[in-house]
Amino acid sequence: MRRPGAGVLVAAGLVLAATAPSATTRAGWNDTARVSSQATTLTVAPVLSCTEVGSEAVVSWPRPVTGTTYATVAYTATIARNGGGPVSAPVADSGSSLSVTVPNSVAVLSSDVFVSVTGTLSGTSWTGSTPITLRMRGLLAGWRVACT
Amino acid sequence: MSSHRAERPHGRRLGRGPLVVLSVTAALGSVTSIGTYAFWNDTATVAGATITSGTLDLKVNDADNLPTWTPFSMTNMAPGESRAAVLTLRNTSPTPFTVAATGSATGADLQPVMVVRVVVGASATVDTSYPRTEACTGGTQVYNAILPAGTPAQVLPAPPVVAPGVNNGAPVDVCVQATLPNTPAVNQNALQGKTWVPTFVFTATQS
Repeated sequence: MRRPGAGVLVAAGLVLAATAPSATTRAGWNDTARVSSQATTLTVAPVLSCTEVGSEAVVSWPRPVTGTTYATVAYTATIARNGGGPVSAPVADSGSSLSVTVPNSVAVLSSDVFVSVTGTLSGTSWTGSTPITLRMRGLLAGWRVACT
Repeated sequence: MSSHRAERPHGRRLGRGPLVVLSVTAALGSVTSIGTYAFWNDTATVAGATITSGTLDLKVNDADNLPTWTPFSMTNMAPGESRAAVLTLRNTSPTPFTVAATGSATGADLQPVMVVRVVVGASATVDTSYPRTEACTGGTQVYNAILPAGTPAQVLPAPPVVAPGVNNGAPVDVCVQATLPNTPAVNQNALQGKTWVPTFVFTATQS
């Protein structure tokens, strides 16, 4: 009876080794989990709205909220009418919102009044301005304000 | 004296020779024809043993995916503010695995400036007042850079082993922190009112 030689045994061993799973080629199980989120940044420029209050116009905007508090944005406002340069206007702070009152005295009988509000975020270089145009008309019944 | 021999019955009888041949042939036929002879056999059926494949299941904050990771989201973010939140990786299957993670981000304006830290084994502080400065504390930082917009970066390059065990294995906390730097060199005003969307993909691989 012939017994396999050493060469045959080595060859068989190599074959077995080649077919055995190795750490580098083994295709194990895997699972993936996808996680996504979103962050948005503050806009310092105010969102203005205007209302007619008596014979005056009031331009107001909300204070931006960050978390549970308000961002420390400082606002300045200017008012100008046709043919005139901008004049600083006081900003009233009611906490959650701010406003500028535009008296009809800045308008001629029928003229546009330009209001611009600029916000500056404290401690940063972030600034932003928002303009709004008020059309103030002096009528027999009083002043009418239209926001454009 | 006459002798009588009994009459042999009519008919031929086989001689002894043919009988021997037949007997040997039958015996050989019954013994040596293994290929055609059916031996006795018996079967015993063992039933009831079932083999089922295992499972490998990675949970992130007890979910398969988190398309909206709310604790990490932030609105009205301002320069200098940062957000931090923890993702808990848990193995809810009996198969041990390791976890690696990649990260990328979209949002053309904020992607180049938003800095992300990934810290394994850390917790997150909470700060809801402006300026909100939350941070990952403790643990081992494994990533501290901007998330790329294209090919995701390896944010968990040294995968921690998450042991098996439903709800009681060895969960791994991964804290992620995003910071919007207040850098004068950057055109900060261009960053207002923008959106940044980071995406992380955690891959559990059987170990």
